[in-house]
Amino acid sequence: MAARAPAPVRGGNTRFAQFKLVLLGESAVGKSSLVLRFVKDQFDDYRESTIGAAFLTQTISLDDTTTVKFEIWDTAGQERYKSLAPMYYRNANCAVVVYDITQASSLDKAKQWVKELQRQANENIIIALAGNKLDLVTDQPDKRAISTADAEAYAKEAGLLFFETSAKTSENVRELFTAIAKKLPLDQAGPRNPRAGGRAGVELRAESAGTQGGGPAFEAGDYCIIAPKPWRGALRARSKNVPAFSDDAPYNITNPTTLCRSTQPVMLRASIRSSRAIGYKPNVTSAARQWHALQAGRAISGQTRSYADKPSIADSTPVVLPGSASASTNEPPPPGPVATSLNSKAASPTPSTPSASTIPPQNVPLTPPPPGKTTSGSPPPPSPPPPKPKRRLRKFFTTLLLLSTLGFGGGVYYSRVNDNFHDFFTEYVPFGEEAVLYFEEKEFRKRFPTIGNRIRPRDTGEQVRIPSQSGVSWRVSEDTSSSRHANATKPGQKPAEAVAKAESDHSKAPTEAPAKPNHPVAKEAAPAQKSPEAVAFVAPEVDQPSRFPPEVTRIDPINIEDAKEPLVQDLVKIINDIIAVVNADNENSKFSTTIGKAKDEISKVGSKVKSLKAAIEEEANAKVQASHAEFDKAAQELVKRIESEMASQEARWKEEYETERQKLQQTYEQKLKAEIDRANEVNEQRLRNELLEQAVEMRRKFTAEVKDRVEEERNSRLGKLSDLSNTVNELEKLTTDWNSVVDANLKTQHLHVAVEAVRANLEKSQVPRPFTKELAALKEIASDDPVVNAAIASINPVAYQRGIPSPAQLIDRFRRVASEVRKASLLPEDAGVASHASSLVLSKLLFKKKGLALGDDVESILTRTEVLLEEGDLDGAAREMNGLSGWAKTLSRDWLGEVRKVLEVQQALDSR
Amino acid sequence: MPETSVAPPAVSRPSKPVSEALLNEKWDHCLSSLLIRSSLGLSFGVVFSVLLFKRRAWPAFVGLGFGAGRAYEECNSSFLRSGKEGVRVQRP
Repeated sequence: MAARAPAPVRGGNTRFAQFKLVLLGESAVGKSSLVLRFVKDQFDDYRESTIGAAFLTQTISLDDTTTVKFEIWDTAGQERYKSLAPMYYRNANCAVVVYDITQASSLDKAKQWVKELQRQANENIIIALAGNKLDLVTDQPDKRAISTADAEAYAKEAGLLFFETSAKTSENVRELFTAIAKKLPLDQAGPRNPRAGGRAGVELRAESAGTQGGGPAFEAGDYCIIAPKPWRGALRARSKNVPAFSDDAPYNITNPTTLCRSTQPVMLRASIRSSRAIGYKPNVTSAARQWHALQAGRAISGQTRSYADKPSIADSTPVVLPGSASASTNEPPPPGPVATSLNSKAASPTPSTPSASTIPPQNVPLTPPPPGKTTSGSPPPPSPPPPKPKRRLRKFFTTLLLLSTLGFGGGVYYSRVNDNFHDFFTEYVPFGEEAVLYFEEKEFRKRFPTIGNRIRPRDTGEQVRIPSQSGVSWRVSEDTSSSRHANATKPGQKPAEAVAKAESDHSKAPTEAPAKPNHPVAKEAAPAQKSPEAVAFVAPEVDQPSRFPPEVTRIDPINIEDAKEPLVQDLVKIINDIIAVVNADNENSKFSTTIGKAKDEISKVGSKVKSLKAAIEEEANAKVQASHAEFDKAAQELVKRIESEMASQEARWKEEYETERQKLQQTYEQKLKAEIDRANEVNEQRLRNELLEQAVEMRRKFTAEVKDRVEEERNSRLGKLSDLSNTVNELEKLTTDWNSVVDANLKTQHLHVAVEAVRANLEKSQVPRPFTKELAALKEIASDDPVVNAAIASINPVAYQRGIPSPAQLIDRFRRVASEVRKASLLPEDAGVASHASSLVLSKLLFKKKGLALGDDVESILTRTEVLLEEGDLDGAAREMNGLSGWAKTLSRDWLGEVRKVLEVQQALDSR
Repeated sequence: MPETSVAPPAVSRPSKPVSEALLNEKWDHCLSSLLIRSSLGLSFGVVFSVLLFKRRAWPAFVGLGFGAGRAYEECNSSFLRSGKEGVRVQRP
């Protein structure tokens, strides 16, 4: 909560303020879009509706020195989230109520919001009215539903800031927020630290007091330090079978502060202290608007305080606080001996260790020996050693015991003060739980003596047993219900029986009741007469009338035979009761005559009733007979009428049946006729079809015959024509033969010409030239000459594609090759770099040979080849070079290939 | 014979030189590799001498020797290999 308040902090020149801003308005007016535009400068065309609320922050700087941070709560506009809104606008410093300028209803809603804000939100809240979706109106002015003037007038009237904005085009959005920021009281809130613990505590209390019970869930989370305590305390108490806190519902509900024991007062006191510290400062009023809630809270907390200080209203004892806020504070002394001792210790000017102050003097070991003894010197040393370990041990144990008891006591006390410590103590310290519980119970008893007594038996921890057959079961109980059903259903049918039964019940009861006292009386009769004293002694145990045995002639209860009438029965019962009373009082003598009279009267009444009844019965019988006769007559009449009616109906039915039958017959006949007609028609149709088919068949036969005849005729005439054409063909063949002979002659001539052309081409050219064209021509001419084809095929394709070198070229190239070969002429078999280098060098020193030199060495072969080449013997030259080996052969390989190609071509041409 | 007339076919397949130029090519390759490798070795030697050996001269020479030796060995093996008959794996 504290963070929501404006928090301007003056650091040097800059001011920084933080404000809570809330956006309200109808759904789909563009609250979220507005915020999105402001915070992220974005706009979504399709935005999902906000759920609950969204929280964003944006910092803007008003000028160089002032920065304002908005904590923006973008609430959901849908109606179902309306109840959440107070949560968001509480403590808000500013609110933006948004409406849609294209929707008239949204302004009404906005007005409602403004009203609600002014009524319920912060007193000095700054409200801005924003008409959104301005971009829609600028495009189409007729869309506008709320004119600017109207809205502005309303804003002025209600004292609001007013802007027409557009989240889409970002128009006026920043201006709106800037205006709010400017209007916010930046200077009013002085420089102070808003997050100080004391203030937080006060606000906490104020809010929790203000929203007790109906506060929204998230508020509960904020002051959860307080709220869960009672529950926790109650839970713990319940789990440990403590009656004091567990089973008193009103206690739980009405006064939760007392239930959570010391923790709540601690909170309260802390808050009070801090509120006092702030509240008494006069200048606080200057920032009053933020503190209104606080002051209210203080008032409430003041009440609570008195309540908390006094644990119970009924308690007249002076106010004793259950515990102090912390161990260090010197608050009023807590109850209990341990606490007081602690307190006294704290009060003492020189704090001594607990063992020193509380150990009884006789137990205190005399470790510091008196000065006299020390001066005496030698005699003591031998004596102390044996007791010393004992004493030390004893001292140690006593100290330990004392310390542990003191610690335990302190623990018990402190566990009553501190809740966390309570948990720890009861859980980890042996017997701690029992001790704490004992004290708790005791205190509770003291506070609520009546409740304590009442609840006491519950503490016994007896197990309650529930019989296995108790409770509701699915089975229908049959045995008991059957008899009950008989009772419930029969009375209507057999009232006489029921009455008789009831009567017997009645008569039994009174007869038996007096009989019982009679029995012991009869027994005691004799001894009672003999010794009245003894009887008197026995009297309290047996019945009274035993004292008057002669009067045993007791009034008999009446027993009237014709007491079937309930009236008489009642009378009899009354009389019997009276008799019983009289008998019991032993006043038989007094009342016997009157009762006898009454009996007579009653018997008379009974007889009278009987006679009356008989008379009435007779009368009734007569009436019944009369009505019987009447009924018989009526019944006979009715039967007669019915019979006549039935007869008439039968006749009518018969007639109807006849007419119906005739109708049916007619319809059947008609149908039959129609069917027969149709069958005839079908037959005729079929016959006609057959006739048509026959006609078609005959026509087909006729045409086939005609065709056959025409064919025969044609074959005989066409035979002669074909003979003629055969002879003409033979003549044609002869002419073609002649033509072929002439062609062959021409071809050979052409071939010759072509071959000559190729040769000329080869010999004439100084540069190797492709002679593919010439060769192709040759091949075309000698298309079916196998010799020519074979010759052409023998030529390497490379030769005619690129052409072949002339002899002069070959010689020239040979000279180059020879110089290279000469360099490698001295190489051994496996020549490395060194051999190559030496061969390179040494080859320069070789003697040159001339003419057809003899020998197998490279030099002589080269000279011989050169000579052969110059003579024009290509074949010989090639053969010589082929004799080389090793590197020499490798180097001359290409040249040899060329020579071979030339040779092949020459051979092919010669073969013509 | 003018060289230009031979050039067109030679250009069409530059990978394979004419047979008489095989040896020369090898020599060219050898010399260039000798140059490159010895200079590389020398530079490494210089760097090492500067960094590790207080600017002594011998590391530079050792590096040079290594480079030259390496080049020589490669050259030698190339000569030996091409002179021999048998299967030869040629990289693409």
